Amino acid sequence: MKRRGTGVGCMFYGVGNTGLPNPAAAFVQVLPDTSVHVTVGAADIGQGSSTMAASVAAETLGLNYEDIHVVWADTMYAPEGGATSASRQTFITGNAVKNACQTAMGELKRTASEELNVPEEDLVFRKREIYSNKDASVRMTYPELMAAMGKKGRLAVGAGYYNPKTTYLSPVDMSGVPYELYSYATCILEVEVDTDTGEVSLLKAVSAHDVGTPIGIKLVEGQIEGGTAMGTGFVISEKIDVDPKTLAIKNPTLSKYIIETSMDVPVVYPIVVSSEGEAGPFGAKGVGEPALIPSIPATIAAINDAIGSSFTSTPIFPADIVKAWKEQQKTQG
Amino acid sequence: MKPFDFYAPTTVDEALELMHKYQDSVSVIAGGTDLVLELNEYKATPAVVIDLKKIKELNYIRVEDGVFRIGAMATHASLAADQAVKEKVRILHDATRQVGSPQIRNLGTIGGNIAQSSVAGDGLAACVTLNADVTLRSVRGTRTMSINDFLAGEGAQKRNILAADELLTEISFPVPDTKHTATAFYKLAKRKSLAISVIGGGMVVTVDDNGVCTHASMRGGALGRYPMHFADCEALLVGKKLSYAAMLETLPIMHDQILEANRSRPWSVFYKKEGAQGVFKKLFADILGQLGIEEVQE
Ligand SMILES: Cc1cc2nc3c(=O)[nH]c(=O)nc-3n(C[C@H](O)[C@H](O)[C@H](O)COP(=O)(O)OP(=O)(O)OC[C@H]3O[C@@H](n4cnc5c(N)ncnc54)[C@H](O)[C@@H]3O)c2cc1C
Repeated sequence: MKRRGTGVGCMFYGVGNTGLPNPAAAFVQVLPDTSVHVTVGAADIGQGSSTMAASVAAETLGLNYEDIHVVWADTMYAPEGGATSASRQTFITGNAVKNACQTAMGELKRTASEELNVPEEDLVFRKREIYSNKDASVRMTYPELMAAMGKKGRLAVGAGYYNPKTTYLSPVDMSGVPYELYSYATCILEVEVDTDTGEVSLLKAVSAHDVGTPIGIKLVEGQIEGGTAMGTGFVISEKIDVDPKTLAIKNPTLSKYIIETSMDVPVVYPIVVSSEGEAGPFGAKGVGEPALIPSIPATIAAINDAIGSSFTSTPIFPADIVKAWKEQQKTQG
Repeated sequence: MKPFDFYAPTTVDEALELMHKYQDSVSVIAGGTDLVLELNEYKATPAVVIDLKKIKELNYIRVEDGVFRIGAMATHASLAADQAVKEKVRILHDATRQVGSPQIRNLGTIGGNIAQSSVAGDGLAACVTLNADVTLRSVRGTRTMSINDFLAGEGAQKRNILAADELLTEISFPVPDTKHTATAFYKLAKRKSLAISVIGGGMVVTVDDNGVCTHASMRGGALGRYPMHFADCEALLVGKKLSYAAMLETLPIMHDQILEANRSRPWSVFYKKEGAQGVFKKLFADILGQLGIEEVQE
């Protein structure tokens, strides 16, 4: 018999450890042709931290995304970036890029102010143009600004870093403020469970994430979709099989450690929720781990809803489902 | 991988000569999706490997005088895409379309699947349920036999009757009369693609004009060394008017048979015996729907 069930999972998750120092840095140079070199230590493992760095640099400098060239994770040249972990790179490396760009802006602003005769604080840098916020007709293009910089022998360079306010935790009981900011999410997931075979079909997942200001909405959606797949797989197929005697992992291959294929993942509807006023670059928060967390309890709850079981741990395999269903029928019948 | 000499003949006769000559240590390679793993892991260490991919005369799917004839080199992908197979032999369509992944189906062949005779071979389970014939050729001659006799034999590799210099060339079976005969396959696996069968259930049923069952074949792949034969279940159906209720009556027998056969493996038997019944309920519904006898609501 096929039975459907729906589950809800909610979470909040800390981003940017404050218990210990947690810095990352960036180097920036705007070149005479208005292209930009950004060098960061952050390892882009596919999640898009380099894309994020380019977006933050473009936004801060008033250039386009296409103007930015990011060199990343090359420890020979790049500054310290810290680990790509704990959903921290957008928050921390993003702020480092912003700070480095703001330093580079010093000479750019001084030069534009001289050329346009506008006080530095009235200047707007946007989409390859610089203009006065008092009179938008007083303006120059970025190439003109870089030409003026060249004539005056000025270079637009900057180094910057960011470290969340390290508050430290109490050595006695670890109390304190462990993270600088928090991401929030809710996932609602629907499954169809076959009570005869124990097969679980993941039908659809709606996953809403408060990410502050989304930097690159497609990337955020991609993170949510991938995270949902990872979280659901954690429930229905993934298991590290440890030999109780030797403690060796018995399935250290992808033919025996079963992750979902594209045929298995649910249809994911990501909802990106914006919020304001947080400490990330332009208010951005992390979404890497938050993406996967709520789909785990949502899947368990959906299975429980479908067959009236009370699973509280993962994984839940077809054999477990058939067994739970049989016991359930027995106690009812 | 141990080094070997490699031949790529273009005709069956050439291949048979080579196999005969090097029979002391020879492997033929079709798609290589089983063999290459064995070569890499030193489970197979032949001195000579003979590639069958250039032999065009082994790659066909055709109907002749009411008989399906399938060349050993027909791939899972080509079987899954074949319109006649899809319309007339759903069991083979549904088994081959779910083998591995698109890459595996593009390379892997039905001949390789049967020759490998693995516990979880899906094409094998389908052909056994159909009670297909296989044709074997060597320089010594040609023999055609039922796939059940093929599996019962102990040849060069012990897994089936194939001699070291013998090639499986063809799989054949009568074209089912779909008015009276329905076939079905259900693959139960750990995920929806690229997964080994936990149970590969196959069923063939024939009814007469009055809807009375005249023939039934029920097999469970991956339940034993070879697709498990539910002979007592079949016997219960034959002579009865086919219905979902009648079919469900076979399940307790199936349950006991699986329990009996798997007593030595208590950790897997619970799920196998329950899961198999679930698999067969799906096959029943599929068969009844195809024959237009009954719509079973799941
Ligand atoms: C990732 C992966 C997933 C898979 N998934 C499935 C699955 O879902 N279901 C399934 O059933 N199988 C699966 N398989 C196993 C394999 O793909 C199939 O058994 C396939 O049909 C083997 O065919 P082949 O042409 O690749 O055989 P090969 O590897 O070329 O040959 C297999 C064996 O048969 C012999 N042989 C081949 N052709 C002949 C012949 N004509 N005459 C005599 N001997 C012959 C070879 O010498 C060899 O010993 C999978 C394999 C992999 C690697």
